[in-house]
Amino acid sequence: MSDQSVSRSKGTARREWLSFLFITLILLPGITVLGVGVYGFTVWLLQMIYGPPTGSL
Amino acid sequence: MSLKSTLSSFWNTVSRPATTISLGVISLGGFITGIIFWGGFNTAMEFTNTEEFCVSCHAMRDNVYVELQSTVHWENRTGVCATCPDCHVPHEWTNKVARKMQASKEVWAAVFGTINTREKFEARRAELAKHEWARLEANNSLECRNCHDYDSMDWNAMSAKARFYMEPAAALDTGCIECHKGIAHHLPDNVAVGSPAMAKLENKANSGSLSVGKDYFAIRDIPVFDSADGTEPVGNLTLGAAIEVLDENNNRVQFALKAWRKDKGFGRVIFDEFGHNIRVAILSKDTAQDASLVEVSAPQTDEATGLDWAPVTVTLWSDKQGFVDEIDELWNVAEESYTANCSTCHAQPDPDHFGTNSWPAQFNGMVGFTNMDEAQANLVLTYLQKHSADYSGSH
Amino acid sequence: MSTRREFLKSSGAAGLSAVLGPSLLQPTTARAEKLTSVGSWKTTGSHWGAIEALVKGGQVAEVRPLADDPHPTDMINGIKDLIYSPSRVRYPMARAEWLDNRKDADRTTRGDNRFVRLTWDEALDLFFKEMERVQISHGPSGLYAGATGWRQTGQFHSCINHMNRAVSMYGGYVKKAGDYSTGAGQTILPYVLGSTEVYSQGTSWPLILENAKNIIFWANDPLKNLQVGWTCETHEPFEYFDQLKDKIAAGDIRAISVDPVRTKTQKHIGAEQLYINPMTDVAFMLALAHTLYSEGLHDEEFLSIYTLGFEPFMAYVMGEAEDGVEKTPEWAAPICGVPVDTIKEFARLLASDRTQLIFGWSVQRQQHGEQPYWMGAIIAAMLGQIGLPGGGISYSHHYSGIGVPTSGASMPGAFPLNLDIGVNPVRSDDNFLGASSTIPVARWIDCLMNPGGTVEHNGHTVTYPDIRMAIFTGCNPFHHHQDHNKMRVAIQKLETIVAIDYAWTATCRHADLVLPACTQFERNDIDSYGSYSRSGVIAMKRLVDPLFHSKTDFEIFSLFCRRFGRETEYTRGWDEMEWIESLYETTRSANEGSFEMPSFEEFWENGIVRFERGEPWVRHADFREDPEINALGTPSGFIEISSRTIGNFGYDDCGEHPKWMEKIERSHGGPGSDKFPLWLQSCHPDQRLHSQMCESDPYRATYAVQDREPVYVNPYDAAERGIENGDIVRVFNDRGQLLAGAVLSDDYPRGVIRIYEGAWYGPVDATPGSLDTYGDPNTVTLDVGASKLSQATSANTCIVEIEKFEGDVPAVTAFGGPNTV
Repeated sequence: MSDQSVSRSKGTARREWLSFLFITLILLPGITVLGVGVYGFTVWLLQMIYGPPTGSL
Repeated sequence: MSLKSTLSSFWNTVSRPATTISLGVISLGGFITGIIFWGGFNTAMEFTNTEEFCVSCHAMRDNVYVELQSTVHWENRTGVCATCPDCHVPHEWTNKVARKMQASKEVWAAVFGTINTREKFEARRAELAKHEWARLEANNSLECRNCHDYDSMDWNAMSAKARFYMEPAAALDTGCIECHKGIAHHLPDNVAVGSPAMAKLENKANSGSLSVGKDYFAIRDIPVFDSADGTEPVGNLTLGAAIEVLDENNNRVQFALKAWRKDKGFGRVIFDEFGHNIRVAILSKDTAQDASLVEVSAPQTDEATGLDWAPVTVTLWSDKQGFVDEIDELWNVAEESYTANCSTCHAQPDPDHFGTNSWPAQFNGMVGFTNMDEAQANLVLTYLQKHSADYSGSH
Repeated sequence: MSTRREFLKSSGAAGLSAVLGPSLLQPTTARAEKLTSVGSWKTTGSHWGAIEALVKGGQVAEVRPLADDPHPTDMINGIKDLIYSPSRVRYPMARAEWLDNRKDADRTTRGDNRFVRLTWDEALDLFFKEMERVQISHGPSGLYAGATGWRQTGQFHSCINHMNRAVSMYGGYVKKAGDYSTGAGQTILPYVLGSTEVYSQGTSWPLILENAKNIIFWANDPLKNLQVGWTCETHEPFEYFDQLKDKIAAGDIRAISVDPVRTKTQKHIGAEQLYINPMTDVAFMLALAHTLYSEGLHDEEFLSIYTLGFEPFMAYVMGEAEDGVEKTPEWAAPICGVPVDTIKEFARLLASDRTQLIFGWSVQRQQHGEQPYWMGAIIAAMLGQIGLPGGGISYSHHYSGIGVPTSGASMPGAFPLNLDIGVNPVRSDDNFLGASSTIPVARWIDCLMNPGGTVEHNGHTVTYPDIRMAIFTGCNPFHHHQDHNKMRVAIQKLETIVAIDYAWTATCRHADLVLPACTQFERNDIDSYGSYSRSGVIAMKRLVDPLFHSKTDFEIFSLFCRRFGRETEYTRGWDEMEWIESLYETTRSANEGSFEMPSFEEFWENGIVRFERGEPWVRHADFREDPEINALGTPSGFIEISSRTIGNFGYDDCGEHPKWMEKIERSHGGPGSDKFPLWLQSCHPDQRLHSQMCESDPYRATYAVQDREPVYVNPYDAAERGIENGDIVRVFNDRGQLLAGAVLSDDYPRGVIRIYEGAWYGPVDATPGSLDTYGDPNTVTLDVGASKLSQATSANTCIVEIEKFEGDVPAVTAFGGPNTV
């Protein structure tokens, strides 16, 4: 590993915190919700083609 | 800052190890926000699964919710009640989520007021009911079984009447909805809540998967057309008609019906077999006399009546729904109906007690004493004719 | 009387009360059923109409018709004494001789009325043991359980269903086809008009009154017969007959009764009479057809579009067939007693305007009974008015309110006759040993006399089974079957006869084991109000508890099934009120969306739910409109004036088309009339329902003559024989003899006497041929099949002589129950 120390520019902390909050409170929740939504729509579409769930696995 | 620079700044920050925030803070923070999110997500999801939420839509609140309140699922001896999601929202997660997405339709309805008056709701009641019946029929009444389990039923604690119906149902693992339609909300008008066996048959027939070159039977009257895209029916097949599929086009098939007709009159009635008054189709006058649609061969004389009968091949189109490849199940339904309806006053005669052409007269004389509607009566009569002395070779 | 608490308990309603909201459980002051010290009024239904009964001290004190019965029948006055008749079957009884020796007992003494009282357990054990013995040793062909009768009303307690279901729980048995009411008619009309017709709704009276110009009552007396109904009778048609009476008086409608006798209907509405010799209707109608054809009055277009086989029939009429006889009015007049000109005028009248033909059932209860009905249809076809309002032909306007439009509501079903799905009988043996499993009902005596013999019936050959045991419930063959003396000999073949009834009829008297059923007034039930009009559903409240040791048929057969472990399958574990409620609820759901029905509790309290009268309707109109799509149920789909199907059977007594065939015996110049010049007409009674209510002693006293059944005689015929009004006369022929009380009346022409059927048979002793003391006409009637087609009853083919009875008059033995030893 090189001897370089990690550069810390002014505002790194702020950027990192904002990114952290953005990711954890907006981005990932959003993707999750969207993902679940897409999953749901897909299952619904498949149910329309292949019929409603039969209750057995 | 511009979008591009924001994005690149963001990318720079997240693609490198954190420098100011410790690993512990990031992990803990992620964990906590994850929990908060999942909790929030589920709370929001579950909020949409409450009775409160469902009846916030006044179409629900003023119609089916009111109807529920006079039933046993609302108030009963033991105080165990059901709310909307218990029955109407699948409990299993994947299906639940799918249903939530499907709820976009309900959102649309709420926004555009599709059923926002009593009249509009009543007009769609049958359609909505059928959606739920189909869902419950497909999963064998899974939602009901979340509370009502056959294995937990104490037969001795039931009334004799309840036990008489429930024990055989349990043995067959019959889905609750097959008999208990209308248990929580009013039944739609004029929807025949008929026998479960017939409903199963109808489901099968409505799948509409027919192959060219194969033979099928109609389980009910089916309108027929003179072309693949004709809009006005030119007649109908009647139940029991046996067709061979020649061609298909969208939701229609072209079929050949090999049958007979009498030479007296316009030839609109098509019969199953020579000399047998079992109908398989009724055509309009124009169609019956159109040689391109009804090919007529040389007639033969029926000694029993002196009438001439001509073999015909009827080539027309129909929708794909309403056919099955085996007709026996339909006759089983008919037999049950016959036994139940025709023994109120006297023991019903065996089907082979009369000949095919004697049954209509006997039936006409007796059907007025039963409560069968026209479709049911027709089903029973056709069954009797197809199982008459002429087919069984007895008497 | 059911208090609210009893009702809830008996309907197992612990769960039910959970469903009802609290408001329905408040005590209700039942309007009519309040118990007080002067008694309470309860409502119920009956064949005679809906009634209210005052019950005081556990006894029925008074019976009156329901207030809105538009035309109650006088017979209501007989109901109370039907319940309390000395002829009630009180206890289970066994014939003394049979009890001692069972299947080896001396059977020639059947009818001596000597019986031993048993307990229920003893009786039911015997009943089961006998059935088991017969089934094991002879199989199903050894047991005859072809019940046929008017039973009592009430859909749950329908005794026919109870007996059949219970016996079927054990094994198979010989059944019957046809009935005594319309045997010939219901067999021929499917071939001609495509339906049995006789039990079918007919053109509505409002349309007949509006459109018909001529109404022909052919051997039909509706005002007599409409007093009773198959289910609870509403008497709705009577208002139409009053309207008809006005129209006749005003000259709007001409009504003619074709009948040797002046009927009750004819007299009330002011119709004219066209006299005709008994049993000669076919000759008369052939001459009518001849006239219509010769004068070009027949509707050629109708005949060509709607019928088949006119030509071969007309060839016969015009003398071009084998017999070479032209059926002119001149040919017919000496046979039928109608003058030539009258025949021609009548034909012209029928063709002149809208004409409604209405036939009664008596005319087909004779030898060749199919022929007059077939001819009637042909006349109607020649007139070309079938399917028009006020035109065409009816065979049923005298029955159970036919002619009142149907409401369209569903009516209650009945206690199931069949086994429930998944229930199997104890014995699954279906080997009838080469014999038929079904016999024509009116040939059961021939069957007993000729096991293994064959007979033609409606296109097939019936092989008579070797019957050893018979069960009769709510059914009295010693009323409805002919030639009682022949019967008494024939039944000696049977090892065991079981009768279940509430009154000690002649059938009970000739049985081996008699079980007491209770009357319908001693049990709860539900019925349709208006068999055809379907005007409502009526609750039948139990008036009093079962008398003596009688039980409901439900209880009798539950206990019976217990003997072979099928009690729960028979009852489903439900009790009386649960069954009744179930029948009600099924009706209610069938009517949902079309006809409002209240909750069962409300219905039971109010006693009746009514439906709006339906729309008037025309019989055969749809066929007339489109005979191709709405084809008749005949083999060809058209009206068959000639029937090749029947022709192919090759029967000498019912051929390809109607023919005049001389009868085996006939008055007015026919065979045997030199020795027995009087025709005995035994039609349905005016003051009974068949044999029901004959045992209501005070009511019978209002019409009996010196305690005997009346015989109506023409005054000249009486004078010739030295018979005066009120004399006891002996009516006799080679088949038997009976005593009756003479009533002289101008309503009867020379050569015709009438004794109403249903008069109880009371022979002096067990010897076949012994004198009947009360006056049952079937002591002297002829037991022969109407023809090979129907094998129906020929009760009205009967000639007799009468004489004033001299010597000691024996006491009437028909009533009062058994002699207990």
